[in-house]
Amino acid sequence: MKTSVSIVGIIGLLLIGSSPAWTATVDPHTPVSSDGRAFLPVHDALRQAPGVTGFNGLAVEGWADDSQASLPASMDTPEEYALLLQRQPKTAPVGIESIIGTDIRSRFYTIDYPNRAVGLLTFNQGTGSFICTGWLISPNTVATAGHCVHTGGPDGSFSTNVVFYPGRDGATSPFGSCAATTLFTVLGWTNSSDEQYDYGVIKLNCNIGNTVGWFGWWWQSSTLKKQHAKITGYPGDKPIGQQWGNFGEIAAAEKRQIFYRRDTFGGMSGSPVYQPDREGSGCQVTCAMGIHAYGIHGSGNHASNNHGTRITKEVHNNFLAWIAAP
Amino acid sequence: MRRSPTGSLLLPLASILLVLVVANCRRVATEDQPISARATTDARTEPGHGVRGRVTTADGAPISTTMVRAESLDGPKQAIPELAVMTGKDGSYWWPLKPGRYRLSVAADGYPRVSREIIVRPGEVAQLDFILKRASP
Repeated sequence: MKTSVSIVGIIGLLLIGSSPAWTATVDPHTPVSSDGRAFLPVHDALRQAPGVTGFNGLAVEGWADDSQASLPASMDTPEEYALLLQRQPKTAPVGIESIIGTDIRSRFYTIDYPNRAVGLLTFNQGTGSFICTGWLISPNTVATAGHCVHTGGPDGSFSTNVVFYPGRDGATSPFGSCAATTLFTVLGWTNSSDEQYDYGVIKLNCNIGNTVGWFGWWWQSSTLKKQHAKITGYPGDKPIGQQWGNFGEIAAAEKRQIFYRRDTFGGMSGSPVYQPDREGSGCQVTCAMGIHAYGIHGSGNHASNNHGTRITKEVHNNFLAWIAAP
Repeated sequence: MRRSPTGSLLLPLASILLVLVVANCRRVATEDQPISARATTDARTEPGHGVRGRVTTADGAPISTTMVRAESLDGPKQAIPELAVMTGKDGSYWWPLKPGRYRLSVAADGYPRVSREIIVRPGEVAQLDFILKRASP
């Protein structure tokens, strides 16, 4: 009897010791920075708020102002832009993942808010050169996809030589450009390259948002299905630097991702998925609900919709912490 | 003297209690760790899997600032981040792709589109170069 009870105890030991409840688990939303810094907690009142309202910027509508940029406004010379365009693809193969049905994208002018708060991102990862889209969420903070700031996974690395061109318009950078100082994403992306945690931000060496404005955002746990949404970014199948996008509805929403049949393309990673005219708690007017990241793949909602990372309460909290970071 | 049932359970209960205490210590140690983590990979090198190569003309001249597109050929398709992957000044590119089968395509002004299939294996970086030839008149 004594022996059998002891054996039961040992078996209990083994079962409890191997229980997932007792293994070390890490929150996938844990922030990660390119310089290894820790983060101070954000004031609880801000964390509890359902969102943040944006700012439409100090620059007069229709007027290019580079006073807050680290590099001045510029226009490529005809020779420079011709060189840039020299090898551009004429057309993209229709039907590969991102263009769903007829291509209904439109080109946007970038001199006014909020389009001027969306910008072209150029950067390197390893030996490669890349383009993404980013959008300001504070004077010096740009939101984008996690895979634009880090390659993802445990053998990944942060991007380098990151430059942000707000309101880039073809060969013109009407508001100048700013370089990145620090990059942030989360462990769910750097540890596992899990697309549900594919988001991050870039801190800039300038406060260009004071000029061009920045986006607000909001989060909600209820469905976003059928909410109208706009996507704006810099697709690689168009001449570099042109801002394109379109308008439609959210087709489906899961806990950490949103799905839409709006046309997207390589280069639009990081584009805001937003409402330009929202009236609701947490954020009014220009309000983002997600960050575009992927074309069609896999199964379920992923197989028939382009999709991105949903702004949840955790994303909201990280945005606030990263905005507050120096 | 008969031993009470309670006394017989003391050893296994103590063992369980010990496990609980040890597990809590492990959890506290986790929470004490810094809440930020460091990237440990050298930013100058490429991560563990993907495709790299060069895009050149038939006589070896690099074709720069040209987009290299990737399409998953697996069923179901792999997720491909909607980066725009551009060739650098020397015509080189790097595509961070998860293991699987892909079709990579390159199109440049004045050249027909060229597509090639490649397999990316776990932990490997595949090499895929493109030579673009001008269309025949």
